[in-house]
Amino acid sequence: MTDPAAELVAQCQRGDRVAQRELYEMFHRQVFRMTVRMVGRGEAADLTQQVFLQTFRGIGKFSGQSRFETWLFRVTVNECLQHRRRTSRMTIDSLQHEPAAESPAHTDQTEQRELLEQALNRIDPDLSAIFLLREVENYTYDEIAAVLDISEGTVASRLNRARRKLREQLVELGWET
Amino acid sequence: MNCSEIQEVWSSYYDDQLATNQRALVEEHLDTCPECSQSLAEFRSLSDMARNLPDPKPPDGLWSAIERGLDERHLSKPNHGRTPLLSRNTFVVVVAVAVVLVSVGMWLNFVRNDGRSQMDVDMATFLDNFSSDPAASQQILLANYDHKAVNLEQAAEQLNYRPVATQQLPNGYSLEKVYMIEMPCCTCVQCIYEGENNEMLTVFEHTADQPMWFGKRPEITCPCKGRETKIISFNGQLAASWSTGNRHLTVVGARDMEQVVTLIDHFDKSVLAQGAAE
Repeated sequence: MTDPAAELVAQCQRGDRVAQRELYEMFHRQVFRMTVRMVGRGEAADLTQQVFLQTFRGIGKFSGQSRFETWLFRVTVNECLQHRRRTSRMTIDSLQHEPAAESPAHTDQTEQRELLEQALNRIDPDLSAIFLLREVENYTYDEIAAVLDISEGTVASRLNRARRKLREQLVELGWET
Repeated sequence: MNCSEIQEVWSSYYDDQLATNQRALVEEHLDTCPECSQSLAEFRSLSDMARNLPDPKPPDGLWSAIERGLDERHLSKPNHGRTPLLSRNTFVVVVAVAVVLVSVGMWLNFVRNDGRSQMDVDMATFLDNFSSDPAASQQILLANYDHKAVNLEQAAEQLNYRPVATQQLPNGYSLEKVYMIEMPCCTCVQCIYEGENNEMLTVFEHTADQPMWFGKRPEITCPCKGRETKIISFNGQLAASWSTGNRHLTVVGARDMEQVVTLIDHFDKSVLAQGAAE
């Protein structure tokens, strides 16, 4: 499968700033979304900046054997995991939402969303990462395996553990199944 | 299939990764098991909750900050008419001399004791960080030595011998990664295993004579399963080194002596099995 970012990557490797901007525009929302979920909104912007700086500075080493997106997300997940390990306790800020937009139906969803955010924060960061890659980024098992540099069998077993652990945490937080 | 077998493949079934016949077995079980059906419904609820997570918008100004960071590293940025402190040629010479001086210093330090002192330092750092942050510990090791990520088959082809490492270890550890690392003593095969509760275990294997990797840490030597085994304790975990046949093995991250003995026995059997197969 051809990499849609391949041409831009080649231009970035030649130091093309316009190409760097285009590559950033292509992926920055995904990277930011992942970092928000992994480390919280307060740290996400700094970490996203760090991810892109690291990626562009090291882009000369990107061989093109995998898709650029895979490599970028590997950097993203590694940075998030290292950040989580460095900090002993993380808090996830709830995203602000317009109170006027809430209705009884939305409140239920809002509560569930907050419960999931708390549960994701409580489980092992490796398990959060794999759950988010699958359920939020919709990566396939082989894409997750490529990002995390693990086998597809390990993807399956970790996803299993992630879902079990999330369920346990949600129940502890008062989730009604 | 019974409930515990079903639970092992839950995610694979839910994500449609199972072969048709396995899928049929799971569905046959679901027809008759309300608990497992409930678990599946909970998986669906988790997916719904994840889908409803909002999509946060990155802040304005993020690209500008990245661009500034890139510019700070861009040495050949035009200086817009200002006179630089050093001419470009002088700067290049200064950097080259600095690199040579640092390299000589590093080489002199490295070759003391045939390069062992540097390796002792690196392994000490690896052990110091392993318990709290095995991933960071691993990154430090890989940053210091040429290495290649492989699988066991590729390692066997390149080394002309099959590592005794196996895909699974006793007590639920699965092989996650394999590296060939160019250590001062030899090319070393490193296998990284992960247990069911994310605990890590790493096994180093090589055929050259066993170097002392534990530095000056207090160690004990004991006959474990008939193998003279050197063992150290670090941060509540154990590392153990022994020889089996012409292989020298070092395990890092064992939780207790019982696990060390179990692993020695396991690798002994692996060596025997290879001998029988050859």
